[in-house]
Amino acid sequence: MTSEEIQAIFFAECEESLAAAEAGLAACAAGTQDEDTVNAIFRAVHSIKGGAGAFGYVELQAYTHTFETLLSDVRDGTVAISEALVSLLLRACDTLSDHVKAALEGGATPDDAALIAELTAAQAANAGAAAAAEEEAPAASPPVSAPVVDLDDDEDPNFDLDSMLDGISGELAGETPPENAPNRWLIHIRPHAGAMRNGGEPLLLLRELVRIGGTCVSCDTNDIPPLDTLDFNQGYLGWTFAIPADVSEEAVREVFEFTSEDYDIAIGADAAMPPVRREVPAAPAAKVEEPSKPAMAPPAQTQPTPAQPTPAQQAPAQQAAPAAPAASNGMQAPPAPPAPGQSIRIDLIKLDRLIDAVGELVIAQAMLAQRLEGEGATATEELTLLEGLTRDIQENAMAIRAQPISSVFNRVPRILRELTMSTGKHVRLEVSGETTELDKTVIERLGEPLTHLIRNAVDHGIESTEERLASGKPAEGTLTLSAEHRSARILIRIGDDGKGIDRERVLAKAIEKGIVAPDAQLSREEIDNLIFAPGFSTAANITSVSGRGVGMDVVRQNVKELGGRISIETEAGKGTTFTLALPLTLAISDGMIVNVGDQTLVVPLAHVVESLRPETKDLQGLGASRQMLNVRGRFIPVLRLAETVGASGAAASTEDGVLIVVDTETAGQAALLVDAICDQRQVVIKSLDTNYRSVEGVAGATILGDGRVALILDIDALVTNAITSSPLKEAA
Amino acid sequence: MTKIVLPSRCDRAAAEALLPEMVAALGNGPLDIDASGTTQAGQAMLQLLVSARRTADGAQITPSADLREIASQAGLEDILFAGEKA
Repeated sequence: MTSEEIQAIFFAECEESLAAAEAGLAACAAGTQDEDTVNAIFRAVHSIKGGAGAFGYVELQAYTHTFETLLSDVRDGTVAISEALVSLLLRACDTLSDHVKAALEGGATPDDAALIAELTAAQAANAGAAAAAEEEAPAASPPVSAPVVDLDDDEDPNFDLDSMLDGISGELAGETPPENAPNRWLIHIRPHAGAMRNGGEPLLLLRELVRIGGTCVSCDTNDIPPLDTLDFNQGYLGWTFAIPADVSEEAVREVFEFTSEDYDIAIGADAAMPPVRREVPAAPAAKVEEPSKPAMAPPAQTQPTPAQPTPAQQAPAQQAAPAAPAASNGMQAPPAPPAPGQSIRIDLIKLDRLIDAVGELVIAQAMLAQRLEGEGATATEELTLLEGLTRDIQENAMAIRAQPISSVFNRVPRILRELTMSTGKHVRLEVSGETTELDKTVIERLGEPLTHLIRNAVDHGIESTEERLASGKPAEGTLTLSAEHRSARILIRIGDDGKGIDRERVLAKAIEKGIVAPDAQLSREEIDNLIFAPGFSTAANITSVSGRGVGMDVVRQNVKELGGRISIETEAGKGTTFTLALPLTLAISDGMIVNVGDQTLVVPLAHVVESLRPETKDLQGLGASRQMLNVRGRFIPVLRLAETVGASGAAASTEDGVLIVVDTETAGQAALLVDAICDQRQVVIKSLDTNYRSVEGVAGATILGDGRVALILDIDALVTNAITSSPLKEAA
Repeated sequence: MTKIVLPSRCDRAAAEALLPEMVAALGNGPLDIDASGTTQAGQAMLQLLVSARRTADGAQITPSADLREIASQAGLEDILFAGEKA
């Protein structure tokens, strides 16, 4: 594994840690301020700090250190949790997210000076007590003598230096370090070969020791062999560091927390430098086979000596003991990453290959079914079984890519905090259905439209505090986010309890901007949908939040690109709710297979309202060749699909074909004339952009059971183009 | 005297790549190691440099400020850069 790959894992874990910290702080803000919650936040920030140190992200590490120090005091109860503190911690979490982003993208680090000052000030409120406690600790902590403990022996990943004090090594250090002064204590560190593998670098940890005040007393180079026998699978160097008395063992322990297996550490002036651990080529294999072996400690290293520690030596171990179990218990808490074996990280490319293969399987299964049908062997038991299995595999493969929508919803509190700062409006967030899962790609592309909708809801929807109070509403606005599965789609609702859409103003603005004709008669829904028109904005003032009219059309475009649809429900004075209906996956879709002349086409089922075989009286001519269909008193344009896609040999008259009524986002309903409906089934979507080029009116392609390629229609584009390029627009 | 120029980033991979070169140069007098462009160095490289200083005729290392700082923090400044063979 390369250093870059490990860094990628670090940043993926940063994302998880940030989400965990954010969730924990949200719980705190909601009143859940128990030990587990605070521990989870602390752990999350601490994990980021550990990785930042290991990879040399100095700014990130320095910032997390300040953040973590305050959290540590909160965890220990020396700083009380208050509303102001939670607010500060939330802002600190936002800036932490910016720091991680800067580290990932190599951009400028955020200006955190003011925030660091605030964090330090919050902690300083209890500095007296904390300082007093720390002063006491070092007085007792520099041990006179300490055992050499192989950290491999510790089952707990959070190794506990205090446990080293349980025994006393009879060995004495071979040298008397010059810095063996009463105000300093010594630590001997021996990184082994593993510490230099997988991008690990012991010098970075030494640098961290220097940063917390340590100084290198000596470096043991006695084991370094001549060049011709030098082996890079060995760690030959060992260091003795003098640590200031006011730096606790815990602080030093944290430096090595994530690397415990590959370092031997001994504490105390009289402790010996741990010996070089000679690696034999077979060692790594043995480690893999026997992961639990480290629990079998070499007797020489962990066997307690008959001599009992004096009370003075025992004291620090006893004092620090409660902290260690708390930390290790915390690692088992629910928000922590699952234990090894419960989950694994998979490269997305591998997953995509699997999904592709499953897509091919679906196609192959359809081909087989068609072939057997041709041979007159339909409805065999084996074929039914195969169909069931194929569908199971497909659903399970899709489930691997599915992620809870909470990863998107978790970003919303931050957006609201920023909006509160910029608009002065206080908004309460209510979230439901955050465990609803949908495809990773959909999740990734959902962030942008969701952010637009939320900013609009707060900026335009929710009134100012004065307006709300005047209209008898609570001063604080409410934003509701929900997600739920509905048949094969996911419905995401973003609702506010604001003033609703002012239809008169929307219509007036649309007329002013020439989006609709002055004498146009529009339904309420049509007026609502005008806000999605490009360049439309009713905002009196353009703010940094919204009002430039570039938001809502982009939202609709984004949702459309996801194969989804967006609709609005609004009531004056009560609020507005946007509903996004999205497919669960972008790889497979339900489609209606239709024949048009010599072409077989797929109409995405999401657009299909109904299909019917019209009677002559239901059709009315318009101009030379156009027709309108009367659907229960409402006239909608008829589109001859054969003409639109250039198919030959299609049914000449409307009565000979079938009409499929489709719904579109922009052009209302239309009736597509096709020769026949062949089937309705799931189709594997193949990108036309990737395999050929983008074609207007075509959303993609699929492979049919007989091996032929069928185009999947982009109903919105097709109908909109057909209507805008014909007199039908006026008629509609 | 064989001159060996160290890269900017002296990580484990760089150390492993340089070892054969240094071994091959043994017997031609002290090594002249030019580390004036080195900005990063890890334990593997420090081990290599200490070993080079101690092998055969030793090595003279011209360090960059960064390498000197790294060596200083690691307590190896004298061992690596003192005028005499370590």
